[in-house]
Amino acid sequence: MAQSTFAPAAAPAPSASAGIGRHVGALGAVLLVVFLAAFPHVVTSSYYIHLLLVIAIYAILILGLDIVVGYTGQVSLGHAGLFGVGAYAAAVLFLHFKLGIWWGLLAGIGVTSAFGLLLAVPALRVTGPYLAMVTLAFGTIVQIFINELTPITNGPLGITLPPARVIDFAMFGITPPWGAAGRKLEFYYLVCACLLVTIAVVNRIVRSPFGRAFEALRDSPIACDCMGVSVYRYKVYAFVVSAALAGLAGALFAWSERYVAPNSYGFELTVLFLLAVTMGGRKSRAGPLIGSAIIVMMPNILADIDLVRIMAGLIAAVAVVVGIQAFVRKAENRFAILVPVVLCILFLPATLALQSVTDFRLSVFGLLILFVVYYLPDGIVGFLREKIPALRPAHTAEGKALSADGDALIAQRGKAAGTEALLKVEQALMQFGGLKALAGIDLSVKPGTIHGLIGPNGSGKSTMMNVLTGIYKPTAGSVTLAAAGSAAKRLDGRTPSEIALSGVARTFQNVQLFREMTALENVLVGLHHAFHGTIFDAILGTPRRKREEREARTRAMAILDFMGLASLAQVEARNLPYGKQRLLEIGRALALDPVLLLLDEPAAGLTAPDIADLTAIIRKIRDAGITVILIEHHMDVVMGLCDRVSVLDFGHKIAEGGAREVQADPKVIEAYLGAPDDMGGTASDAGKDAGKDAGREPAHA
Amino acid sequence: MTIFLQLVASGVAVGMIYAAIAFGYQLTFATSKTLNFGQGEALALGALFGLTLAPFTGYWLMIPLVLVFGFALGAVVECLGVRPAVKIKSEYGWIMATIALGIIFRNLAENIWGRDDLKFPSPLPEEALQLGGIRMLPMELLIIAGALLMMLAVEIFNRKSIWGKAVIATSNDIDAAGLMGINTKRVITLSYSISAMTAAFAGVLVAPVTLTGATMGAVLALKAFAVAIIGGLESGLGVIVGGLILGVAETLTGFYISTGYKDVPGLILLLVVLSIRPVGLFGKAVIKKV
Repeated sequence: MAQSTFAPAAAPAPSASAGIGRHVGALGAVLLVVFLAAFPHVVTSSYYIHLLLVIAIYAILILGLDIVVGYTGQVSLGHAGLFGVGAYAAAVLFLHFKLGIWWGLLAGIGVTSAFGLLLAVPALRVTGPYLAMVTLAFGTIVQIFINELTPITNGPLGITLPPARVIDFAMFGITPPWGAAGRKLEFYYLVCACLLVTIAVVNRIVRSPFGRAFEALRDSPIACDCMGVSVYRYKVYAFVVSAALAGLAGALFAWSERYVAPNSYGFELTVLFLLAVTMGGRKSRAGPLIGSAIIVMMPNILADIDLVRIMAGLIAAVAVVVGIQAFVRKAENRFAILVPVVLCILFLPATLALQSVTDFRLSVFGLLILFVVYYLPDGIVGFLREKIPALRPAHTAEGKALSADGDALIAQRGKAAGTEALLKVEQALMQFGGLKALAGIDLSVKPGTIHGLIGPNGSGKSTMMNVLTGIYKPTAGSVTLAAAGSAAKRLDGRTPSEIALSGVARTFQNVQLFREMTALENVLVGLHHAFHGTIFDAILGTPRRKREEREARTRAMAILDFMGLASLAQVEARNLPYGKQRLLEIGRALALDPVLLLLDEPAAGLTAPDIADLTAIIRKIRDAGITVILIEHHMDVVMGLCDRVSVLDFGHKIAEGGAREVQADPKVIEAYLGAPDDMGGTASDAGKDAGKDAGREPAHA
Repeated sequence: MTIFLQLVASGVAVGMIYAAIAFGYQLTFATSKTLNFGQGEALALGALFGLTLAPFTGYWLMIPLVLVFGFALGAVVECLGVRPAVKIKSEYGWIMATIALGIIFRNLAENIWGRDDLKFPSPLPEEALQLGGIRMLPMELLIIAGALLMMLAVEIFNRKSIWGKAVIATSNDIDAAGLMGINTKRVITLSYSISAMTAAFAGVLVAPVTLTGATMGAVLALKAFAVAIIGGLESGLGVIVGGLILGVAETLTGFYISTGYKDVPGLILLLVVLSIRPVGLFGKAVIKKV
């Protein structure tokens, strides 16, 4: 257990080159186990043992909250409500059915998972402030119902529980092997075990395809859907897992406090949990533990005015040092840093003036939140990781050991050919209010070709792309995909993730990478379709899960190698140079194993050598049997690559044919450059055309 | 039937309070796509500040002072909580920062005015008026009129004054407005100020008919958000209709089911509307560009 808790879940044989980073996790896990095991024997005061219990229980919830806040990037203000539901599930079972702690834990997990599912339905449709308010409303409703459903919950009086009987020796007819002191610790060790299991479970989930899906939907929901990873479904997973952990924590809390009351699970608790997650550090296991310890101990520290004064003195001293340092070094933001420094210094006289800060406990928490949000956005763990490289997550460096030959990848597919169209668009109409972005377009793309789609800005190219990939539902018309060896399939009306899984991959005009994930992880999200394991496979680390992960990583490395990105596999996407980001996006799309690849202005903003690389890669992709639709403004790229070109203008297809043919078409020239007065059309028509073209960007020829 | 009409009439008064607060949400959402999660505290502080002033100035003279107070409070929230977070493009940042400011304000209010609820003296007679068989408190009528007037005044300000036009321009397209020389940062601050001013005004309107205290705003603000969602965050008429729906639903629930559940329909309505039609009943669907 201790070994696996912090180590990567799907690690193949550890490679010799792995840095010190991954051992930090394992070391931390061992220290945690030793600390938890030894604590009650070293510190016998039941007060401190109880304090540690509360820290551990909160930590379980906060680890779950981190999945929602850290990984999927949503703000939930409903976790105190879920915590309360878990606590009441356990307490009510005892009150009415005299069922003990084990039933309580099961019920806590089960009931809150169901609530998480319920909450996910409105929460899925919305993000950001909406989601925060929805979850806040949920938390409020929970509190009202607990208060009002007196026959079930005993109303405002609350429910009192007896000491938890963790192991029922009498049931087995044996005398307890340890004395009364030992029996008191049974519950303590149960909580510790739950905490360790939670750490292990969360660790495995976030490193599985599920965790990658969570991060992907945070960084770019739209790209996530277009990689065949349904944002909808994975938000539900994240919510349910997170809720289940909140329920477990709630049930444990009920049996730890041995009393539940409606008002213990309100808004303030929710905010404390959020503070703990951010202050400790998102996306880590150590962060929630640190955060939990802070929020539990803080009220105790604030109750001791002398201690507060000493701490305020220390803080003021540190602030003075930091302030002077910033000023001497003439840091750019030295005036911005003045505000917190002055505040920190003022804190000292404030504590000296006050007899007690307990009444101002919430203000202190509020100030802490502000401080964390603005000056410590990645939390304590994030701050330490930035300062000490050894603490950075090792990003499972096995990727390098699994390097594969990219060109072998290409040999896997034969050259696709055939006369039947692979993609057939018939009378596609896309209407936005009165504007017809696509006014009934027919398009037919032959397999194994590169089909260019050009036209001036605003001609409907990107709309076409969005219709093809399901981001827009066409007002009328049909889109049919007829891949060789499978029946023709209507694509219109399907969701983006269904279309992606049918073999249509795309890139985006404005790069939509999963920014906080490495290049390798980006491609692995594209390979999501190759994973068939359930969430239980991920949690248990079954052989199937390990095999799938190994195979996917090999394939992902092969794709990166093919794109010429193998050496950048462990670099976070946001840190890649722009040209490489464009290539990575194509690589991620290739991971879907598509029959049709849609490239939306892949050369935009690239330098000339980058464009040459890109052209070569697109050719290789075509030679591998993948049909390509290319939207591009660089005419030399279009003319050099495309087997066939369709030209759009104002939602109509005005020309189609070979590249040279189209280039010479007077209608195309007119669309791009406007019609000269002596070339067809009445004078008024020409005037109108000139007007409408005035706002257009010239094509990069 | 009379009872029903009576409940509807009381519901209208409550609903107008929600509408006024929801209107405040709309103002800031329009200019900056952010909301003040501490709107309830702005309301409570407005009411408490008014309570302290009222003995010296009387109710009517106190109102303009409360408006100024609310205006300043909104600017503080925007400068401390929203602007830095918007600068670093952190949605989590402004949500947490406005919540944190709300908590601090509430805590300070508790320390200044105490934790117990206070009675706000009513400026109008407390005997109910008979209006065609329906009994209404004069204060309820004042609430309806006051809330409507407030919204009307802000609308007129937006349409007629140069600053109001800047607010509308910023709402329509913040980048274009910035390029036209409008100081969009100040416009956002202004929208926060007006928003908190509306909330503080709603506070002194509602205080005489409820109890006044640091926590009075929390549930009101949440339900006002429900109203803003039901009506659509972009629709001015929507909040009035939404407020009426919610206010009436509440008084009916309180009477026919139990007063303990009177907050529930609004919150359920919020969840249902967001599940079915996230842009609200009066909102327009937005097409996202890729």
